[in-house]
Amino acid sequence: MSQKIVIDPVTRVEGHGRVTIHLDDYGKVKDSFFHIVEFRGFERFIQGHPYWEAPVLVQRLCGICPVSHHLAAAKAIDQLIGLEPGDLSSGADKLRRLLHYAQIFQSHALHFFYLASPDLLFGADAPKEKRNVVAVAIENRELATRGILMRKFGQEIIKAIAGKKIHGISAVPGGVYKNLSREERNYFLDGRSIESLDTMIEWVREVLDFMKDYHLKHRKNLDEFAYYPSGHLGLVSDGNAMELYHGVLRAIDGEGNVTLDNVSTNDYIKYFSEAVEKWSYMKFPYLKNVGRENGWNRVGPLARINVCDKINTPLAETERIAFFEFYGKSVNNSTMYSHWARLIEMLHCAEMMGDLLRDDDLSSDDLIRTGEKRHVGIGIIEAPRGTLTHHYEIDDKDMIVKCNLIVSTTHNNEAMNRAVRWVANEMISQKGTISDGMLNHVEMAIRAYDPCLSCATQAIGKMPLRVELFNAQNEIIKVVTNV
Amino acid sequence: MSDILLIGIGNISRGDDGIGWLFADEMELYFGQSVTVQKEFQLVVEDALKITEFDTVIFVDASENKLENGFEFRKVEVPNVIKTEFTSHAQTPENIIFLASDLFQNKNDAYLMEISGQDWELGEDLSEYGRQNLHHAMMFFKKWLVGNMNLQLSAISESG
Repeated sequence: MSQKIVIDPVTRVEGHGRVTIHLDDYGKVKDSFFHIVEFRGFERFIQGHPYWEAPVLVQRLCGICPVSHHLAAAKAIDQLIGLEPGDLSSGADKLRRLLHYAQIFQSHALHFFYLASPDLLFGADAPKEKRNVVAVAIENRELATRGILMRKFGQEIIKAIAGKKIHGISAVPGGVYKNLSREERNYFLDGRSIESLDTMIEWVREVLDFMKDYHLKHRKNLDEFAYYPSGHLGLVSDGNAMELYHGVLRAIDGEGNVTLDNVSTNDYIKYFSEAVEKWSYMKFPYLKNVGRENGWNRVGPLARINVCDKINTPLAETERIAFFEFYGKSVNNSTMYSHWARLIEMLHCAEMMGDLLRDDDLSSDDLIRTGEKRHVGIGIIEAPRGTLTHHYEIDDKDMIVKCNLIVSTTHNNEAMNRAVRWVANEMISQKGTISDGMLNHVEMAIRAYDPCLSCATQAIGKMPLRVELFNAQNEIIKVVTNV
Repeated sequence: MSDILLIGIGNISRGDDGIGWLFADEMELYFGQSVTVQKEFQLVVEDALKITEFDTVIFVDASENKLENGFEFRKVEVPNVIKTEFTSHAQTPENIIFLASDLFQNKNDAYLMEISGQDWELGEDLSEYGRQNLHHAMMFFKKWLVGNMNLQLSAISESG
């Protein structure tokens, strides 16, 4: 009899999600879907609000990466008052960048230590009671402690700049509302009150050593698990250097051929379109010039390390080179390498935070600039999970009349569906008994993308994700949930 | 900073789930700087580090259980066996105490105030049932805190 597998909830991701796998009469996978089942719709209800409210309102999309939404909206709002990113004062630009690097640092720490590390330490076949951060704390106290302290470090910087660790406010139209004093900066450098920036760098490098060792020991599995060619999209700056705050759009296909090059963020709409499917609230963005079938892109750490030619901080650049030397190809399409790439970004962010914290421009009083009003504002930023687009249009009374958000996880929608399909075909199809371990492999593939399903659909509520197994008669025969 | 941390857990936008926050607001008003108040949607792993800064931590949350007298106040001991959930985002007070003890050798006293509610709809105010229970719980707690934390409160009062 054919079957349908349901994984609900998919765990250790941000937001609601559900996986269904349909089997035929012979236990072979017919189809699989990664459904996003919640909808909130910030794009609609922000309409009618004055534009200056946007950076404050939209950060409520998320409790993990509110800073990314705050800054993407702020960049768009800057344009509405006539300013491009280069028009901001040096102090304002650097304060925003520091805020952004701190955000990525803490978000990546959360994902690696809290969400992903149980898979790496205990394996996908470990009992579900063990696959969580509390079990990590019991078995690897140092790793758990460092995870907490590293996340705290990033959050403390966010608090120093924005007033709160979550949903604080820093950016205002044309700049930021406060600077950082020398004393505030030294707090993060001298190691007297909290672990210093140098300690953060040292710890990330040690985790990177752990990761390289892990890849050596599990190379075949990590190379092959959820491998599939795809496009990769990200921002780059001069010389195709990795860029997280502001740059031009670049994309490559699964073999490294450039599909989008040196495109201004203001022109994104000429190059991207979004498809919809009836079984998911999350859209499917793709490059118009490549088409719906092949024009989808991964975004996030793996994509960013693929689209850049270098990283402009020395330690992270050394790690980037080692990453590709180990893999042996110039483009990495192996999903599980996302964790390694994520750690390299943490190192890059730590180096950038160090440079900025030592920069006296952060204490400047020149914080806000003004310009001539426009009616369209577009802000694109590299959020922890990938390329994030905020696009606003206003009327003559300064009210928002249009809002378009393309959230990082939305770009990864097709990639996550491919990941589910890969696991279904390779690990579940025609295997007879379906174990929890098999189904956790589905979650592990999704988890590598660190999806924020709340951001992608602007959902509210609890955060479960289900896997459902259906037979040929479309009857549910197994539901897996870790609730 | 005080020696007492009170964490109100909940969501003011969801009916009786706002009980924890309203309790926290009232205690902040009543005890002033003698009690440090923090309001959260849910307990998170980092709270294990946060509570180490205080001698005493009090968790306050609404409860779906119909408790005798409408509330229950008890000491939270470091558990021998932890309860794991499907998500790492929402932790129990016991898990937070466990993590604080295991990772940071924390030895502080921890208490949990559970207050019964019954309606949890988005956009709703507290139910009458929840409001009454909240009132009784706050009355009890004010007396308890003054009686049991007298030394700390006096010291802070004199210095402040």
